[in-house]
Amino acid sequence: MVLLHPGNPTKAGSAKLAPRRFTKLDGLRVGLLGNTKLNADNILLALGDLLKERYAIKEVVHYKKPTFALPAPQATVDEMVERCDVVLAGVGD
Amino acid sequence: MTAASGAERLTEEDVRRARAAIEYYYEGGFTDGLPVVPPIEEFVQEFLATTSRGHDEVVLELTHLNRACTVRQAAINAVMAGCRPEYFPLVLAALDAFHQIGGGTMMQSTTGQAAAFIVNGPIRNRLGINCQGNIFGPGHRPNATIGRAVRLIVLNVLEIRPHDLDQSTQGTPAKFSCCFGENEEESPWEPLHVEMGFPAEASTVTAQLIRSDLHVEHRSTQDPLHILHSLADSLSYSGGIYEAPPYNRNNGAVVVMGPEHAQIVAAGGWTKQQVREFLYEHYGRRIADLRRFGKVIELEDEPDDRFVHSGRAPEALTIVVAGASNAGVSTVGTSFNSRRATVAVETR
Repeated sequence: MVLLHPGNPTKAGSAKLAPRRFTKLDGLRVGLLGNTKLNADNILLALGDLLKERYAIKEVVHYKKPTFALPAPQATVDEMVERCDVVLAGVGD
Repeated sequence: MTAASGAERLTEEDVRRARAAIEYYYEGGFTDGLPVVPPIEEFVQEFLATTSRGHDEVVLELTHLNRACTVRQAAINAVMAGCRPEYFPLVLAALDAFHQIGGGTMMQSTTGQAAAFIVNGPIRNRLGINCQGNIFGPGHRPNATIGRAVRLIVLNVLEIRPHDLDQSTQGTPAKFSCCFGENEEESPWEPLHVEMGFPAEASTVTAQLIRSDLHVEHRSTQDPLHILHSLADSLSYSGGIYEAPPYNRNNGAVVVMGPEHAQIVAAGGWTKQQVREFLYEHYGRRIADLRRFGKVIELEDEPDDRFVHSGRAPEALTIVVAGASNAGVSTVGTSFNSRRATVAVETR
C-alpha cells in the first residue's frame, strides 16, 4: 500500500470503559463533578438530591474543575477515586 | 491549456486510478468533505526537505485526548490539503501558533469557531498569499491550503471530528480554511508582526480564534468616527455574546480593516492604538439591550443605560489591514477566547 495513513494507524480506541462494579446505587458514595459552565452545579446538585431521595446513597460529594476546557486536575481525580464509588460528570454547555 | 505538470501525457486509466486514490481517503473518513491529494512517501519527503525540524518532533499535543501531531504527520496532511512543498515551514509555524493559543482544545467547542491565520512579511509575496480582494473567499492556493492543512490535522491526527469530539452546533465555513496576508503595502500603520515585536523583514503567522467573519459595510461617508462606530457596533452584535459570566466579558476580536477604511481613519489623525482603544470602549451593549436579548445574568439589577464591555481589554483586539481598495468593506471576527500568538516562519 503506497498511500499513507494521515492519522494514527496503530492507536486502537483511545479510552476503554472502566469495569462496571455496581448494579445498584444503594450504599454507594456518589461524586458530582461540575465543569464551571452556567448552572452545571445547580443541575448536578439537584441530581444528587434526586438520587438521595430515590436510592439509599451513602453520601454525595461535590467537586469542581477549575475550567471546562481542561481535564480535572490529577489531585481531584485521585480524591474522587479514593472517596467515591461512582461519579456523575457534567460535560458540555 | 498547457500544463507544467505534464498532465497532457496522462491517460484515462491514469486518471481513473487517481480518482480511486482520492476515493480511498473519502472511504477512510480522512477529508474535510472536499477531495484530498493522495499522499505517498515521495511527496511527503519533498515537504520534509523544506524544514530542519526533526520528523518525529511533536508540534501539537492534546494530553487529555492522548493525541499528538508530529512534523511528519503535519507533512502528510499538508500534502493532502494541496499545499506546495514550499508552504510547509509556514504550515509548521501556523501549527505552533495554533498550539500556543490552545487551538486544539477549542476545536471541540460547541461554538464551532475557526482559527484565523494572518501572515506578515516577505513570505506573502514569495508564496503568493492573497492580501487583497477576496481574502476570505476561495481562489488562492496558499490561502486555501495552508489553513486547510491545519484543519485536516485537527480531523485526522487529533481526531476531532463533527458529531464526535467536535461538538460544534453550527460551525462556520471559515473552518475549511481562514488564512490571509496583511495588506502591508496599503496599510497606513505598522504591520501586525512589527507591533508584536518582530522586525519588518521577518515572516510570521499569527493565530487567533474567530466565531465567524462578519461583513462590515461602510461606504457612505469619509468620517473616521462613522467608520469606527460601524466597526464597534458590528463587533457588538447580540449573537456574539456568549452569556455565561465571565466569558461574555472576556472576548477577543480580529478586526480586518479594508485599506480604504484604514486610510481614511489614519488620515483623520488616528493611530492604530487609538483605534484599538476606541473600539474597546465601544465594544459591548447597554443593559437595556442585554435585557432585550435575555443576557443579563448577574447584572439584573443594573440600570438600563449602564454599558457592559464585551472585550477582555484593548490588547485583545487584533487590528490588521487587508482586502481590496474598491469598496468600503471591513470584516470583524469575535471569540470568547482572546488568545493570540505570533510565530516566525523558519528560514533556511
